[in-house]
Amino acid sequence: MLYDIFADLYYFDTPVVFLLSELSNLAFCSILLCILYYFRKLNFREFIFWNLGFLSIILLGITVVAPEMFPDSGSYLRCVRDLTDNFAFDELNCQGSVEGDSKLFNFLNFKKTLPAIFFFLIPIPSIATSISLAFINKIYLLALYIFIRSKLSDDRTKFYLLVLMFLPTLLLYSSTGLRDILVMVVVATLLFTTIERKFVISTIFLLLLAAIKPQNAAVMMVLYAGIFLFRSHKSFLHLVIFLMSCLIIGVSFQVEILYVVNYFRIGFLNENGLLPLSGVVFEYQSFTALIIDSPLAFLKGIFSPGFGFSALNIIFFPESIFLIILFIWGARYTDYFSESTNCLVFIVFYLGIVLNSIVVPNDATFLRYRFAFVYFLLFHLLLMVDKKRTRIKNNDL
Amino acid sequence: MKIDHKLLIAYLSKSLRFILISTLLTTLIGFVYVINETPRHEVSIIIAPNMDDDKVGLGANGIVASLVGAGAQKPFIFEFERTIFSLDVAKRLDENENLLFKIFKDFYDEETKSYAQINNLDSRLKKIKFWFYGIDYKSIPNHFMLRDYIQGSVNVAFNDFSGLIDISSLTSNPYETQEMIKILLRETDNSFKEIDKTNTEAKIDYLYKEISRNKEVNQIAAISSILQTELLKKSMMGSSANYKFRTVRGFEMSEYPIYPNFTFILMLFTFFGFFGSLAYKIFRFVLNIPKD
Repeated sequence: MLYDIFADLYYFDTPVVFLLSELSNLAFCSILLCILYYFRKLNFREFIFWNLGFLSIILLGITVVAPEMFPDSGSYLRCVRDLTDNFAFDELNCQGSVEGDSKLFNFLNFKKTLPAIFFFLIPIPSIATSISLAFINKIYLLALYIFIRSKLSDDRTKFYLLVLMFLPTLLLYSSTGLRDILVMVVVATLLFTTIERKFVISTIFLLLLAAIKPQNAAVMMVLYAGIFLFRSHKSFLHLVIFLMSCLIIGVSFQVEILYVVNYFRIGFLNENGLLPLSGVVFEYQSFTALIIDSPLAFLKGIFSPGFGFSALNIIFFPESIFLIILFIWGARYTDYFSESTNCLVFIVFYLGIVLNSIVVPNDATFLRYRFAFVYFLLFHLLLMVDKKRTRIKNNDL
Repeated sequence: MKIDHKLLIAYLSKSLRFILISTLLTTLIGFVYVINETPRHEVSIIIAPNMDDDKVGLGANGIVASLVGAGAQKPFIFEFERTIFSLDVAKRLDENENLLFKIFKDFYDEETKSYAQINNLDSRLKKIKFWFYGIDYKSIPNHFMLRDYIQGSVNVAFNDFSGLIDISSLTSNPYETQEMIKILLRETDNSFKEIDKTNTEAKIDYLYKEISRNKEVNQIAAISSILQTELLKKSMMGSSANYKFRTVRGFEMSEYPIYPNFTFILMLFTFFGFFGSLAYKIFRFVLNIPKD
């Protein structure tokens, strides 16, 4: 993993270094794709699609992904370099801890450390520029694609999966060096291991998620507890008992839950420079208020970024509408809400959207946080569609 | 076609010569490139905001207080970046230091006493772009161009942990750049002073009136204390001392050029040659196998 020790990061303003570095990475990824294609792990269509996907990192890196848009991406890169150089985390902001920033919630704080280890595992030729880690992100996405595709049997659903991998949000965020793709990969894998009721591996993935992104782990904990502790997949009665228990736990621990929600909410306002100088910010005072607000927050979340004429709105609002239509179609086609497991998956999606919608004030950041949950639901829906199509095909035969 | 890793390895063994030659060739191109690059030094200075007069009201809210903490300096970096790269500062630099001429003197025509148009790829592309809007674009050195030049050559980075601001530049003329950053910081501070001046004077006038109107000793003492602060502020504005920020570490210059990094650039070309040629060969190989 090559980089310049005298320069922090290279951007497109030094085009020779930028292009040589990223074309080397692209060549590395193409070699990987060729090998996968040669050994029949990818078909020709997938081979071409994924090559274009890797190429899009450079194109988006030149045209769209400005360094000031994702200042965090440099921090992960510095941690990977630290690990490459020292085989340790000497940099101050790369170190992990078991008792993180907030003793109440963030007890596992490895949000830089663990992604850096994941990035370190794939030895791409160069980590010299602001978008180098995007190639590793895309490789993880490719691995997730192959993993999910192996669970599908119908060709058309396999194609839908391929298309989902190239929707604007995923295309954009998999062209950055942020941890969000890793979060999405872990969330999606956790979904599959949980619904297949693989307890040990699910526990490992949940712990991994808690270390990388505790907010998402808290939401995924609902799915984990629902399946493994309350057996919600068995019947709607189990699911209702589980939900009632959740409600009781929620009310009992409302002080702690509200503290966490308000903590993150104010944290994001501070990060975006939206805190008023008076320091007085609206805070949720009761769990009931949070529940009453949740349907509106959910609708706001799924329609985000809303109608508008900025580039963000023009690209991502139609995508949101497309995804909603896709879900409605898929849900009707598969009779989605007739199974308790599906309802539980939807509840987890609902929670993820609501919590992020309440906490994150910035549209771009919200989209970045949302897509892990959106794909969580879409992958599950795709699995249901595949089951239905295979069933129909078998009946026809 | 039979899928066997041995076939792939055998093909690559046959292509080894091509890969080796391509790698050596790109390394050679890299060598030529690196010896033709202009060496650049790094010039930097570290400053910190003067927070005495700009304390953020944290209120009694525990969460807000814990979150804001060291982040209270964050609004300053936004304010600082907007000011240092403002048109006002660019104009001041030109008026007081004739910086526009110093930087773009090659384009100055003594006969017409004006600047000639810059003709490069960027200006031509902009000309095409603005032609679509129906605007006749002229790339002539002016205050806007000076501001863009400063923004492109000076890097401002805020460190979240220390709260310090690192101002640096990678340059082939380190002494000139150091001088430019020095006057840039001075004029940025002057711009801050100018903005605050009217406010402070209005406050002082009001406080003087309040003192003459009040008879209570306690009230006079309280107003005097505020007045003292404002008068100190005013004296700072009138002096050449730093007003909004202080220097933590003065100018430093790298002893030797830090760009281009010889080994890095050479290795980059080598990697490109190696992975590029390897990808090309494997691509050709796999595309020759029957599809599905």
